Amino acid sequence: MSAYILRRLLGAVPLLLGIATLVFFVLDLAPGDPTAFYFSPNVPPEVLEQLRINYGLDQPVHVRYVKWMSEFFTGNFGFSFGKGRPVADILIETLPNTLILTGTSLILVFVVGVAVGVWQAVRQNTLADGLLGGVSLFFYSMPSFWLALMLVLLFSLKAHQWGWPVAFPPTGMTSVDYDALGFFGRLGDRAMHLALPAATLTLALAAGIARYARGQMLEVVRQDYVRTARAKGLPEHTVILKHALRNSLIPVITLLGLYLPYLFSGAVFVEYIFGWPGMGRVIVDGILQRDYPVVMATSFLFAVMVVLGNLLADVLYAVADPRIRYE
Amino acid sequence: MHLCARTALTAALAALLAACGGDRQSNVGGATVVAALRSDFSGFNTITNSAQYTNEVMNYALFTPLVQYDDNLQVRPWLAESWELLGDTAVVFHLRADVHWHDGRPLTAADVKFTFDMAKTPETASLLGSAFLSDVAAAEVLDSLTIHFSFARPHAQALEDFWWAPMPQHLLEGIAPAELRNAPFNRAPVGSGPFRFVEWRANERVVLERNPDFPEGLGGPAAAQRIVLRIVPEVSTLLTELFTGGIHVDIDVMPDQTASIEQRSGDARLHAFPGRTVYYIGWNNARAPFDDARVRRALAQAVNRQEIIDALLKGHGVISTSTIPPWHPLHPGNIEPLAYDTAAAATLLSAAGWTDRNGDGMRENAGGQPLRFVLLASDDPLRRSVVEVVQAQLRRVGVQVDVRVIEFQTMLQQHRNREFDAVFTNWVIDNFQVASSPFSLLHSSQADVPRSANRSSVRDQRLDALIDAGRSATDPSEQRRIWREFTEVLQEEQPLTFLFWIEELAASSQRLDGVSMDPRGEFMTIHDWSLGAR
Amino acid sequence: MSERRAGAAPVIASALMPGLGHLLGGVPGTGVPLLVGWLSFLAIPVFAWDRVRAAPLGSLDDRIALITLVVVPLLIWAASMRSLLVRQGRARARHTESQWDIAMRRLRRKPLAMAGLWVIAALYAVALLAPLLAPHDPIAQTDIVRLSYRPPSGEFPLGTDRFGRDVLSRILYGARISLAIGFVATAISVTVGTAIGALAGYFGRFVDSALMRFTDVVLAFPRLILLILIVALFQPSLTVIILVLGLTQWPATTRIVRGEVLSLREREFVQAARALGFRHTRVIVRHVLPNVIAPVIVTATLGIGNTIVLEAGLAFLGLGLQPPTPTWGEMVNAGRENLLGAWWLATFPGLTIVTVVLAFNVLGDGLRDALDPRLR
Repeated sequence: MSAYILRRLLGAVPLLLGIATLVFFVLDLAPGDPTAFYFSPNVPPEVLEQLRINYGLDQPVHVRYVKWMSEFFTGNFGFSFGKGRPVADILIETLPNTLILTGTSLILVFVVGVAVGVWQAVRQNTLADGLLGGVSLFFYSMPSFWLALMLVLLFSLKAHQWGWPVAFPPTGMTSVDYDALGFFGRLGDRAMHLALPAATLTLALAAGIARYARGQMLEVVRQDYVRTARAKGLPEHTVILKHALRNSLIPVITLLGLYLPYLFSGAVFVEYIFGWPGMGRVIVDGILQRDYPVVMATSFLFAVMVVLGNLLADVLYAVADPRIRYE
Repeated sequence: MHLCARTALTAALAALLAACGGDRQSNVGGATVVAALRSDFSGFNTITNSAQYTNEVMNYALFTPLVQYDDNLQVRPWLAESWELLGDTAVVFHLRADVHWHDGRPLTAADVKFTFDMAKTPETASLLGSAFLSDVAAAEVLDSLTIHFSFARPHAQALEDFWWAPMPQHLLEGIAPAELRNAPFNRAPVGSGPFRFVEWRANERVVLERNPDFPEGLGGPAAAQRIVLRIVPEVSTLLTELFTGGIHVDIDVMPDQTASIEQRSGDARLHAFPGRTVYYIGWNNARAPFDDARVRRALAQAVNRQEIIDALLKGHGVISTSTIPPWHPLHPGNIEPLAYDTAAAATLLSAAGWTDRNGDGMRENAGGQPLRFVLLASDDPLRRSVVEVVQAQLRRVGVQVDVRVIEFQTMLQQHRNREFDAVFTNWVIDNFQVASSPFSLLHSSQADVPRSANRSSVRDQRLDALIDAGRSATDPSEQRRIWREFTEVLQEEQPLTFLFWIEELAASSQRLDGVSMDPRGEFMTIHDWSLGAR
Repeated sequence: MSERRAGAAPVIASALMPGLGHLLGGVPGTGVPLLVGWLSFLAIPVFAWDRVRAAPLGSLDDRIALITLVVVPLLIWAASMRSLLVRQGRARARHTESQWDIAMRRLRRKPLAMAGLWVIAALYAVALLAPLLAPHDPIAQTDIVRLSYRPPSGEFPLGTDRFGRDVLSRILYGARISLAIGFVATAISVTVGTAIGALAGYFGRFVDSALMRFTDVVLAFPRLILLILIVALFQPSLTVIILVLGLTQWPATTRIVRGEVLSLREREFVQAARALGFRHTRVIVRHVLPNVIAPVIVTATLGIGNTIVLEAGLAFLGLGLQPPTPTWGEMVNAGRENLLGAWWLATFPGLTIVTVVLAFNVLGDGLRDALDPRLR
């Protein structure tokens, strides 16, 4: 197994190298100019030219590529053009924010999705099954940005307007007076700010997991060993929870590993609409401003997440299912 | 439900309830004032900065510029308590003795000279040095509180060149000019103004606190103990936070939101003041059909500017005739902008050879080519809306406009490289100098320089002569005469069609005292912002 | 399914009003949609007579709408008669049942999937008939000062946008863009994906390795970022958007096709074909691909929904089609600014997206179950 993991990791290196190169050249081809944030037209062209020299943009592309690659792989991610600070600092600041959002969502997705899916399977073809299935399908078909807007509209903006007892804050990670709060106050504050963004991310994905888990559970429940367990006279919830659940969870876990990268890129819309200072906004702003160092570093990071996510999914699959062997 | 699940649920509910007892947000205050805007600041460094709000926060909160402006937009003493103009060639500033850096060191003329020299160094690529100080040649320290600036040439409104703040030499001197933009100082500045820097969480907020040692002569310590500047990217959210007390000043208000604010006048007040941004359509004068002045005039007359102002800006705008803002002392009053007149437009177009020859409702020239062009704009809600309306308005006189709303960078590229038919964009007056904009935008000497600001390839001898005269005239009545004629020629020739000046819109909570805003900026009275009791 | 000869009454009833015969014969599943469709098409000239009359003189759009208005009811009538006659045994079914017929039959038993199918059919009808259905012009600006941001009312059932344009009309016209993009982009991605997957699965070893590596690279790149990058580079036009969406969605199909082809390769009929000396191309196209089509169709159906959402997302970020073309994503984006004051702008186009995507998802699910041999 460890040999397998090692092989996969080694195999990922050329992949990541390829992606980094791809991004570099795609950005290079793009029209547009990082010096454009100097759009005050009073600036004489010589100054713009000087700025390009400072950024090293006057060099031919292969020189830049080699220079950038060697710096990149020694850990020097360079300075952001737009913000004038080390890209590494930006990543260190924003990555945890994104992880808080997507990590919470991932846990909720798993918990809610599996719970709903299993419940549906156990109550197959009843009203509950149909209703939950319909609701799942509804959320599954929803664009995330629209869901985010509707949630903000309803549970934040309108809630404040209509004076509801619970109105969620529409933006940000924490309130302004966060530092003045006690421990539980802070926890509550974070929870309130996290509620709507996490709900947006969770609902659509949980719906997908629920559908999948339901299907898996239905299959597992038809298996012989479940019938045996029932025949042995075990109470129903033991049958479900101890025997059936474990086996139906296996493919669900792998699905989660594959969802991991989506949680990063799917968070882009949510981060914008909720003003969440995470990595998604950083990368989209970086693309729009042609902030090359930022885009490179974040794209690379995303790609690493995908590779690790896939690997994690495969490893978990092998761990959970003893029939699977990797050499 | 299982026991553990129930416990977890109860705990979660308890935490939620604990967190939202009542309208907690309104307890934010005591002496903390919260302002919010849509985009993050760039580095706080006068030498390298080019962003508008960053500049304002530096000039009004963090640092002490040499001069400030009074209510009549005349220059008044600030860091420099007095000055002498030596003819047309130089000026000497005498600095106050009681201003210190927030780390305790005194602010001296050496800091001013250091800042000036860094800005003028080419490797720094400084907007300050290249644009605002383009007519100032050198700085010389006469003594620790006296500094002498010599001018490159006599020019109008010389004192307006000095609305910028010095940076601390002792903290920045070792840094190479090309690296100044990346200096860690910019993210954690040590200033000299009424507020000290506390922290900056990127894309989240900047926190400032009162400087207790701010000199009495400049107003003494500020009213608020703390100022928090929050970054909130969604405009709807900004307004809601204002209404619920989460923030006290909303810097970025959209015209569509003014109705809501006026409805809730008990909670919030609207600030609308003339801004420094004019929106215009740049015709590519080097391309047909825009090389014909009749066509340009006709198109200008077919655009109903007042309708755009009323519908899209909800009245918060003024028709523009040139690059001179209507509130500026040098603005020539009583000049009629080119009238909205579709009949006159039609006549002009026909006279220029564009008539509807095949009955399809659109005009063609003698060679059968339709009067059709691409109108470029970058992607933001206002620009999108305006170009859609212009498209509809021009269609009524038989002109086919293809709108292309693209991402800002791409638009800029095309605009700069002069690869466009017509572009809808804006121009910001950075300071109160009148002469610099016309030169950059309209002078023929710039028309051939690649990537200069004269992207419309304007070459008009009359305009050139007037601009040259205006740049060097130092007598106020002479200046007024020149700029009046300049504006008249612009109406006639329409090398660029100036549409409107927008009013800057902001809103503040009724609980906040000491707030007033005018063309000097939204943050103008940040020193006096304080929360009254409620 | 009854083969006995019933009376002539249902046939006459259906001749007058398609679907009625099915209802009388106790088959509401087919009867109701046919009847509703027939009545809807008839209702249009009744309520919009002016526009129908002006259509032949109008633009190409108007004429297409008129043709649709005439042709589709005829088709409904013919289908209804045929189905009824076959049911009654007065006419023979066209041929013996193929795999598809079996699948279709099973699909018809799923009310949810059929509902999705009818919604999609209605959507296409609406897209074609938009010039006759839309109460106002979706593009023209009339009085932008007076009419902007009107809430839903009698004159403007779903409100107006900032330029005073009717939201309902824009949604109806927007259907064309979304459906066109969804369909064509998915067609491209499915074609490319199938080609690559089939080649990889069939030839195996080096070809497989190389192609799968390539697929991994495309997959490892976060989809949204790639889309933003590309669309930001090239100016967004219909062609660019369709191409971009099509060329980034294919890995999903590739995996499925490759898996199927890998297992099919070992089956006897393929071995036989090779033994007979058929060239690879022929074996792939005539023998392997037809067996792969079923899961591909399911992926395609689900993919259309996904593509519509992605396109809306791009438009939401400002990387969509140019104004004044109405697209649903751009309308939601326009609603963002005045979310509190004009909630209808963001809500209704979004609901439309949800409904359409829901229909495709439900149909796709149904197809998957219907085509799945294990659930026999």
